[in-house]
Amino acid sequence: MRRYHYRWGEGMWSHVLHRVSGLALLVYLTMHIWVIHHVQKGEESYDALMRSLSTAPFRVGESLLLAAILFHSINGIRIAALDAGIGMRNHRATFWIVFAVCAVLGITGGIYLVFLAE
Amino acid sequence: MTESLGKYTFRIFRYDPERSARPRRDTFEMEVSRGMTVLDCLQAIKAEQDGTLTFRRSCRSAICGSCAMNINGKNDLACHLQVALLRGRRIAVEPLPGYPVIRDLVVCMDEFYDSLMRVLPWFVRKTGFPDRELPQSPADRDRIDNAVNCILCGSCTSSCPSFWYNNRSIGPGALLKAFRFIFDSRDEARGERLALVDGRDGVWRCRTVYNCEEACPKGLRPNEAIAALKIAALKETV
Repeated sequence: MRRYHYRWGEGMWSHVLHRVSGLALLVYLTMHIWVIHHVQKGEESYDALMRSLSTAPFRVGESLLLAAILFHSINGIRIAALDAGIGMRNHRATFWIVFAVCAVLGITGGIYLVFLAE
Repeated sequence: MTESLGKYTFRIFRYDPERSARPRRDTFEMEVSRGMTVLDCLQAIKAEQDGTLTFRRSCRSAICGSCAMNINGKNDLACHLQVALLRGRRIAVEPLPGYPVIRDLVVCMDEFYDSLMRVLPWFVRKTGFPDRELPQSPADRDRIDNAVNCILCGSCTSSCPSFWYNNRSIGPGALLKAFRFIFDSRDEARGERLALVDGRDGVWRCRTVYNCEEACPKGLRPNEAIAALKIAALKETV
């Protein structure tokens, strides 16, 4: 297998980040179902799990989850628009717009989730 | 007297399966003057430093597409790209990614030509040909203007990550050719071709990475052709 040294443009970052965030969301959804199934094991079991999920590492994880959701959804709209032929000539600029919106919302939301949320 | 740009270092991919199964990179230094293309430099290196350096070239006018290669991480024609336009004094020259290497900068283009054959890259006229020429309005000609200038150098398909992952995907080069006939007002195999590009290896393998747009040395936009094909495929084959 030859290693390719292709120059990374906005399209490559969009593609790889989209795939990585998509896989991260898949892993999260699996974990989410596992968490939710504790409801039927009774109140005590669920509350105990919830307590361990509100510790610092999980709060950081939650803010990463927020970042993945933001990027995957907003960039998804961008990709759907490109598939429909909208914004093709500005595809680089729209990537940076998506990135900036995600950064602002992600950092704000991340600060809230890690430091302020109950 | 042409102005000298000074010394440049070329780091070139070398591969000779008769000597070693492992590729290596050789470094060559040379004096470059303004106006020299990357191909001029490769010719000079071959003539003056290492006669075993192997690459394809033919027309030297960006018409034949033989000298497509990966220069500083981007696919381009060596005969078309001037050294003065490159950033830095170190130039990395690699064979086109995605195709098997035969030797040094020479790749096997079979996969590219096979992908081309899959979209029926010829003119189809079921109702027969008129006695004289088949006229086309300027507006109809403009529709395919982008695609008829393709020189089949293979740079776009070689730059496409979907093609790297899966060499059964048709790739931007052949899809641009499909576009050229599907949107030609005189062609009569629109339905068959649309069905071919609508398959799982066709337009839907495009992940909108758009390396092909930057890779095309003729400034064509295979990505826009693919977008038009996606819309046509949705509207006409569902």
